[in-house]
Amino acid sequence: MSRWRRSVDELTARRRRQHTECARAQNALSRVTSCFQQLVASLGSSADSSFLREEIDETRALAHRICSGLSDRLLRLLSACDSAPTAVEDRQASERLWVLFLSAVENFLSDLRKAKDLIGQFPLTQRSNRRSLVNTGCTDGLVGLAARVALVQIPWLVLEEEPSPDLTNHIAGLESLLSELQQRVPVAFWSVEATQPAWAEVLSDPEDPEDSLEDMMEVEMVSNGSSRKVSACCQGTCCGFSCVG
Amino acid sequence: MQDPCAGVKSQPQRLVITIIPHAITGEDIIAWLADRFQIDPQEASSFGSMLVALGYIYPLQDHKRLVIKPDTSLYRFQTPYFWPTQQWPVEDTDYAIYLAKRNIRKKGILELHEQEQYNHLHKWMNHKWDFIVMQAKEQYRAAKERKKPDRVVFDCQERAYWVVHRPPVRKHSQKLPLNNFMIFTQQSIMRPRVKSSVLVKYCATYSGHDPFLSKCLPSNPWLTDDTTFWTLNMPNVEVPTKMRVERWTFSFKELLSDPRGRDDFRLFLKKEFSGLCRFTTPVPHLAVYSGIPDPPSVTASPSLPFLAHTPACPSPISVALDSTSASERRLEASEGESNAESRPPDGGNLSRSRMALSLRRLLKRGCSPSAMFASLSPKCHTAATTSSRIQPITPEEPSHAPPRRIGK
Repeated sequence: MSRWRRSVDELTARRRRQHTECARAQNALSRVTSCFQQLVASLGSSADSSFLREEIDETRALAHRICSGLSDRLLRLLSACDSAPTAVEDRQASERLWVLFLSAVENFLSDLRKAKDLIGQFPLTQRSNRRSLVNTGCTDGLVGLAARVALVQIPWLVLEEEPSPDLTNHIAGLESLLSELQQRVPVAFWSVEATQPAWAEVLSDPEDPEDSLEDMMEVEMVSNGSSRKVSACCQGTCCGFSCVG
Repeated sequence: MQDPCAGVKSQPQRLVITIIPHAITGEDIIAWLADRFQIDPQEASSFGSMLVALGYIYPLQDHKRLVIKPDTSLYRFQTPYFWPTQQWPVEDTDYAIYLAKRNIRKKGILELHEQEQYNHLHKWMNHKWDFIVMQAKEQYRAAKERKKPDRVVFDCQERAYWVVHRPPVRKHSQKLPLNNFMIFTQQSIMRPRVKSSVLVKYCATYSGHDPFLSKCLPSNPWLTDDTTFWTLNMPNVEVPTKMRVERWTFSFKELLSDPRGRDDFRLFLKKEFSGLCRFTTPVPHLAVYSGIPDPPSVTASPSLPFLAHTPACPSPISVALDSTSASERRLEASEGESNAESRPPDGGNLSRSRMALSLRRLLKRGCSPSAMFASLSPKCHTAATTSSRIQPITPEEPSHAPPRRIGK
């Protein structure tokens, strides 16, 4: 095999490795941002606490590390696609990852902004601040989320621990990152197609067969001495809407 | 409303599997509102329904009907993350993720309007659909990490949020009033905020110039029979008053509708653009300058003031709206004034190519009248003191042309 051919193969193999690494990082980012959303949804509610706020900061820091690393790697991947001969599928796969990453960053950014507003509206600096928290019915239950975040692994070594930015700077940094990336890489968003057809996620197996929300929402009604279960959304009589949930 | 003593009575909601606190009944809410705001129950009920329609409180039973029922039906406060605020746009991406999550949980059994929305979003968000599905799965798994009661609450909260922000568009008339009501209430909350700010700004700007609202110097002729004020503010007075000049800074309309302002403006343009200024403006509310004594013009509306034909600018003037190239401008800027005036006014191609000024271009450059007058003769030095309005004459943000200094 010629040396040129070998080196092309090596390049392709390396690119594929990089691509896999980026895909795993993308999954990690998704995981972290989903947990972040769950945490932020409790801000200002009765489940709000200093523990929650610390968890939010830690989750944010992890997301920041993933984002910085992933943006660098994706840029390298895409520019490598430009310079060396690349198979069309490889190029398309890289572009898809690119679009996914940008979408994830946008989504995360909107949650960050909400977090900033909520933390501003519901400061927890004093005990008396707790009175303004909204009684939403949530009490706690964030330990599981914290554990989930802690288990996330970044698929590359983080050599130096750079300090993570505070919330305002984090938002500003992501905004500028987003605009910079969009300018530097001319990927046509609309040319990327989904790999899965519509409704495909329906078939994704749930880890355990779980109660539907409607089952959980059944209210025990005591009437005429005997108790019977009634679905909470129809109060006995059918309300006429197609009551699927 | 949450005060344990003075707030709405709170009770736990009994579910088959668990007990969730902080549920409140409709009748308690209405009673509390009526008491707190001293209104009758009917009004309290409407107000309560508005709170539900906007999404601050959500019903636990019959969750699709966003009204307050004056009975023992249960409600709960929505978490601030799902409160409707204007700075947080309701994103379609989030809705798509929510629908995909529902798909996973309910094995594809969605309501009709949700199915339609899903298909629609899948089509036009196809490029990020992989992200949407991935995020939906992760959010689904993240939610499972919570304790069951909290999980139920979060699911209810999320569902309530989307009932408010993506209601099914129904053909039945029974739903329509509710949609209208929600849209109406949301708009009525927003509308005063928008309009009043414009009105307030206008009032604030003009209040100093209104003889009813503030002093009229030296005195209001109607009150003191002293006509100095009118004398000082004659249309073509030699020295305009400070107030008058200040008024010119408000907008171009003010400047050009005052004959004295027009004169000064013309003078300024002659100095700055030292060339044949040809002016007409297609913008109807600005003054039309025409060299013809009789106001003819079919294009101009009859209510427009017409500038008199003065010796300073003898020729009829028309503005070329197409910009001249930079080289042409430099050419005409360097030529002397006397040169310009000796040219025949209807020079045809020649004068057209020397179009010095495009009013629209001028406006685009963000030149406010006060900026113009910053360089004018001492007569109007008072305008220069409104320093907050003065902008440098260099254009700030030309989209395609490079910035050009206006030659002096």
